[in-house]
Amino acid sequence: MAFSRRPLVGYPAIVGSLVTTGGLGFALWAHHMFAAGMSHGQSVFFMVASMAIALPTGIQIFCWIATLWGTRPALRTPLLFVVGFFLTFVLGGLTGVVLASVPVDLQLHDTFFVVAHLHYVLIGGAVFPLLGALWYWLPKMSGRLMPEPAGRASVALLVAGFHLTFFPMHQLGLEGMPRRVFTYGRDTGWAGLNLVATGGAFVILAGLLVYVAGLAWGLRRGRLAGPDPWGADTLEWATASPPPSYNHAPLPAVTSRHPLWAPAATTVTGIRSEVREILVTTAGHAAPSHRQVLDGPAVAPLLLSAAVTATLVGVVFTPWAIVWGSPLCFAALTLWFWP
Amino acid sequence: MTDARAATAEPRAAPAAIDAARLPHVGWGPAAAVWWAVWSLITIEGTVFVLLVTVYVYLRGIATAWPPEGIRLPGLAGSTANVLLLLASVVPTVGAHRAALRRDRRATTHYLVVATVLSLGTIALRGVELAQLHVRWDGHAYGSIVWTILGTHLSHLVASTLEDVLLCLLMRFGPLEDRHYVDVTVSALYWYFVVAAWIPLYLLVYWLPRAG
Repeated sequence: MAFSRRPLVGYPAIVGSLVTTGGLGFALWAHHMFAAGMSHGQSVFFMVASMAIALPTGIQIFCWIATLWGTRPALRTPLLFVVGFFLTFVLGGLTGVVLASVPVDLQLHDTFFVVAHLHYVLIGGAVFPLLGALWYWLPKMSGRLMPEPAGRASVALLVAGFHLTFFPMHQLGLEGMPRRVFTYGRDTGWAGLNLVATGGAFVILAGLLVYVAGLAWGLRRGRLAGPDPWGADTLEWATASPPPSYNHAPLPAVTSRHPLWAPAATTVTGIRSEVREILVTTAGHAAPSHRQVLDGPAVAPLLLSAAVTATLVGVVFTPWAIVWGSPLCFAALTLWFWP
Repeated sequence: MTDARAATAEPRAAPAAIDAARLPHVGWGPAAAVWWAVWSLITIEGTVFVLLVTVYVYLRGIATAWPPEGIRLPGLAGSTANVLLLLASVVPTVGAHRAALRRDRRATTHYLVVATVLSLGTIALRGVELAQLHVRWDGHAYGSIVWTILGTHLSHLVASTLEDVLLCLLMRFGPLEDRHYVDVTVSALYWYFVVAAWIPLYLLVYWLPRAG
């Protein structure tokens, strides 16, 4: 969003997709076990659920592409990692739909096709976004920007190295190369593609080294980031980098999903600073509800922890620990509760 | 890192949109953190009771006789009296709940004392129930599960009663703040759960073996 200068397209659709994905996640785990043997009805159920996950995932990807579509996005390192994530994760998703089909899965089970698929999904879907997110938020934590040339080089090396390593594994799997075997015979004909994959692994290592070196350099010598180096829309970018212990002074009043892009920033007043007072809002609409005065430092929670620990360790040796432990816990709770 | 901090801009001053000075210091119901805490507790402990029911039904399903040969059915006198007492205790609890919502210290205290006395009675009757189970906890899987069900629920009776005693003392002697009325309302929620959870457990332990 920060890089396309545009709000996320299809926000409700993305939220709905995430919820749907979470729900379907409970109904597809047995797709790892098709080869273990199950009834026809069960395998059909898990096959359909596994394939159905492509729909909410596809909706999310299209929304993200639509967010970038027609803009002139700032192609900085975090966004480049996101582009690498699109390229890789979509391929992993496509092979996922392929593997969800029971007959195909029975053929490809325990081959390198599965190894290729799971790395496309996990590295494409989790590691690339994670590396991008670290590059994006480290300036907020450290106050310094990470060096762009190192970032771009690491994206290029990592994405190229990744595909060099894992793309050939699709073919190896189709040729029948099994996984979880420590060595293979000479005459299998799999040596060439495996050599390519090994070369790719070294490229990935080079990319990671460039990334880590970039972070090390950026944390020490990087340009000062300022509050909002990316032109982002969310609240963490309204305060200094690194943020002071109180985060915001005064407390911002948020009226939009993009508070930093809103026409006028507004604040909350009337929160006392001489006591530990915080503003509590309603759970659904985040409307101001009341002011909660927080307790100061107290010894009762520590005593309770000690009492609970003593009781639980005690019951390992004797059931009577419940009899003497419970009053101890109750006493600590009373001390905590009593004003 | 110090120079980075010094170089960053202070947030700009902005017009005030919300004046919190007039907001109260106490949130009721879903606005209070303790309300969510008690509902979380109810969810967790409700799940525990569902698990206990599952264990009971499973054990009964694989047993040749339930209760096992030579063990009499659990007594109905103490247990039925306790169900009635539990149901009766809801009346003063609702009274305390409503009085707390009005912040009526006198009425809250009176209802709380009655509720506490009744809940002490339920603990005493639970002792009678355990004596009328006619089985030891280590005698048979049947004994283990009925003792566990009664004991788990007893721990809730004890916890809630101790909480009531504390609230009584606070209402009578303590430096009272508005948030303690919120505590009374969520403590009432907890007691409703403890009573409501016992009805299916009572039917399970005392009537399912009689149903055949």
